[in-house]
Amino acid sequence: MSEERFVRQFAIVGKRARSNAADFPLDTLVQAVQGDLLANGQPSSPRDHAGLRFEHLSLLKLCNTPLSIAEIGAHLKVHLGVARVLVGDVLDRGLVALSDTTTSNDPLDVDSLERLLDDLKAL
Amino acid sequence: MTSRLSEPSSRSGSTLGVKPLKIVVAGGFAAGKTTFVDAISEITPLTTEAAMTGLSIGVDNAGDVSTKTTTTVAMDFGRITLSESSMLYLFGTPGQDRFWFMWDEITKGAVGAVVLMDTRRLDQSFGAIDYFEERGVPYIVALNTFDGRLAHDPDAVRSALAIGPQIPIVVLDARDRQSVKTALVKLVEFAIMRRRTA
Repeated sequence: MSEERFVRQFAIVGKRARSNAADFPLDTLVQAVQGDLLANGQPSSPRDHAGLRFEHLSLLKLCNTPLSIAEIGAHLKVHLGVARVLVGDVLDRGLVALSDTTTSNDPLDVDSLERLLDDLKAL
Repeated sequence: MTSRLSEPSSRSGSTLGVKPLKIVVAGGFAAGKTTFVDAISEITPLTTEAAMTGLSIGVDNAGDVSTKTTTTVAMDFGRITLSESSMLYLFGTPGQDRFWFMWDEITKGAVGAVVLMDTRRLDQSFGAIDYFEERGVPYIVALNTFDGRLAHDPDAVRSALAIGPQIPIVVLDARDRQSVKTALVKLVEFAIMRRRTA
């Protein structure tokens, strides 16, 4: 990554190194709450969108269907840390819903693993 | 950036009904990790990047602490939609072992790991095996056949790398979807067995 690109990314997140999303696992799924409106480029409410940057709006458009934080970073061509801050910003405004992150660092229980096994075999 | 809204939004706190699952695909340089992911992913593998700060680089590279650069760690990953309620991600580990902090990030909460090996370069797998052993992460070893052949058979690999008798070793062609699917099934079966006996 060039120094220039790094500085640009730093500017996007307004020099905030951490946010409420800093610890979200990189596979956390994100979906826009009012995806259909946002797909037309129409803000759901001007108040919700005040102060949002181009990158936030791109994120909301991308997340019409659930996408992981890793995918958001890849599509927006920003570092994972920057993607997390952007997700945190739109989460604060209630514009997105996330998959349950409270248990995602725990090992999976046998029931979940067995469901996964069945799903994989059915592929 | 303007200040955050002070009043809590009625919509915040809603949780999606879909759950992400992840499997780690580890292995040395050119072991075929991205090929493996590509064989079964429904999307063309994407690359996500994370930055390593100049400070961490200094620890790694003590002779050159004054260099203020940013190192980017790149990881390839793919996705499989399993059902309406679950999505499986396959994350390839960064090629160089020194990026352990990224390994921690992708291994946390993972179902388990596939250690992909090129049997001509067994030494490149020591790091991955030690890593998963130490953390008690369920893993299987997958020997990738290059040109349809293996330089060492599974028994030779097991003894050369001191892999315990309980760890499954499979032989596969990382380009072949069925072969990759079989390896993933094997890993999940092994993870279930480990959970049951834990």
